[in-house]
Amino acid sequence: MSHQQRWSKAIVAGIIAMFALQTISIIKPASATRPTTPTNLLIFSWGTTTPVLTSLGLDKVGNGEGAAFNYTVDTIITNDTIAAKFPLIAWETIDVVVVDCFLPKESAELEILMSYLNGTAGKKGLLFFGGNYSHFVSDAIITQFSEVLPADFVANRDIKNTYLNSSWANITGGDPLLMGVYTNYSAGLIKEYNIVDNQVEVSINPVLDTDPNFLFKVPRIAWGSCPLLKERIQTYSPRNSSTDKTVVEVPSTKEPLIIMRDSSYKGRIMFISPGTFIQNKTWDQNKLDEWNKAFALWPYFNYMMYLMARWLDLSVDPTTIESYAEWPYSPIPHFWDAVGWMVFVGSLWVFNFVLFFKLGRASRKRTAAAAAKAAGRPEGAPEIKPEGAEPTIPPKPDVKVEEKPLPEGPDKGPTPG
Amino acid sequence: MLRKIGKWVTITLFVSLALAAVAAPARGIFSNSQVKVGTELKYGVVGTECYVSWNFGIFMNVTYTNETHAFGNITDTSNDHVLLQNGANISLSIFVIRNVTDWNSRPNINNISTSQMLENWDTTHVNPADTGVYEDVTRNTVSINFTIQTTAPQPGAGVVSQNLKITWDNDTGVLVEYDLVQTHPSDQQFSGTWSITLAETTLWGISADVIPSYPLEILLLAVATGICGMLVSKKLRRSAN
Repeated sequence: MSHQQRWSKAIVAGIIAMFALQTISIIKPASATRPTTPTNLLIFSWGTTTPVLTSLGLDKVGNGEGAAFNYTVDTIITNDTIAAKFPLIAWETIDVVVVDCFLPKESAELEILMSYLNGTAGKKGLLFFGGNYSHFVSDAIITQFSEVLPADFVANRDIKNTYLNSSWANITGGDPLLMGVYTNYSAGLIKEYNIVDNQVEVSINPVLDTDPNFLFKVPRIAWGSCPLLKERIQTYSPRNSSTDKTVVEVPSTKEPLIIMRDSSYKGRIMFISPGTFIQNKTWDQNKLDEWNKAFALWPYFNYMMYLMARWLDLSVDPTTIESYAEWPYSPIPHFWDAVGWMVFVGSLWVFNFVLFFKLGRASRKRTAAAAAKAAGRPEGAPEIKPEGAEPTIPPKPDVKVEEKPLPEGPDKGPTPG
Repeated sequence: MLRKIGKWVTITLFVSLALAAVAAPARGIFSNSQVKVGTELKYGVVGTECYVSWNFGIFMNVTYTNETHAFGNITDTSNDHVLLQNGANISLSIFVIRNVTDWNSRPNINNISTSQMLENWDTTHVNPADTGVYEDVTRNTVSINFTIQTTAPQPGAGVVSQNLKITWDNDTGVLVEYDLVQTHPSDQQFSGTWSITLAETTLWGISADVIPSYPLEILLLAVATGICGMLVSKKLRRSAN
């Protein structure tokens, strides 16, 4: 094997090794050393292939060692399976209940669920998504379940109207008629369970944003990159000032979009008014029931689900929850990806330098061989020169430039002056 | 040298004419000093937090006036002008305060002598020389800013603190802004803001038949001067070459 062939093989082997390293780093599964115990989920879902299930399925036990979520087909309850599955729920094993646009239809079953959420029978975490619940359950069920939620989404219209009318009466000296007519009319237009669909911006609660211990902010979730949201359940405020806090709101109206409850005697709840419900039916004035598609495609959505579900699990120390950079399923280069890329880029540099010098040397050898040939030495024979002498550069053969007379004819050049 | 002088004269002329055009009094603004029958007032209503859904528009048209009061119809602007209140006996109350010549003294509201607003009508709370832009026109305004405590009789409601800033147009006496900031000491369900702002009126506005603020003569003069300056400058440069 010649010297040149050896070099060629070495270069090809180097390139293959680099790509192999890169490929390994990309397809590498989640680390087996993730310091977590799975959170057991019970999911009430409007379907079996939903954005929420897809998101939770990323980090599901079975997808990789040390995964965050543990749920099976038995703990996903839909409209078709609730009658058979609800009586079999092993409540003591459940850590977090996910409610995605579906609830038990029977009041008795709902009360059992609520008892595990409000501290009566247990303190399970609740991850509640907005959606068109009216598709599956009655308004009475929704209103009943709203008692456990940290959001005021059934407006107390009478009291609010009284405040508005009273202030007007105080100003005008006892004539609340004008404002009363208006406020009563306005309140009459508000539904008990109101779905709105105007496009809104999203921003984090500025008070919580300054709290260094608050989990749901940069660098974990950059809310500034959240797409505009539309369909949502109308919410007015957190329900309890001491335990309930707005996480994310509409900056112009302060309408809460995500509310968290952190109560020592009731457990934890995350209420997300804009859901990701998608149903090819219409709900109002022929509008397609497709909720916030962009929200589910947002690069932080999957991590948000992971972060919230893990935080809701009271057995998990919040400080041990992986950051967006650490979570293996976030769409960014992680440690081994970064190592792979750095090695790849570094190898490319080395490869390029080696190739550059190798080709340079080969070029010099060819020049020297050509010079030796011109000097009459046999090809490959070393040039004999005194010790310490500078390498000789073969003299260029003299090229005589033959002077040709200029062709005769009319002068077409510019004429000075 | 001559070329430089020409250049600087041109620049100076340009700048001064541009400033003159901007600073020239706005044209095309019409204004009526009196609320009369047929006057229209359209208000936008914005609620936040607990009042986030109380945000429908209010439209009023005056059907009858006397020395002290204006009366009219009230309709909802956001729902095909549903008539909320009809009849000449509905006083527009603080929406229109008529015949106020001295805003330093208490205005006449509904022929009453006591209300929490009137009790707070003093130099501490009233700003008689404010200004604001309403329907693209700067208006002289009068405003009062005070806080009251309001109780709702319903169980569990309690007392809320309500800060009110009410602003009227100085010349016509119509309400231009009503801002309420309500704070419940413990229950966020009852904290929020609610404001009414004048959005459209037939009392004043910008006429659509002329370009406001930029008189055509000055603009033409500025353009002509600029072109002349450029031509002179070019000629001088050519001569120098």
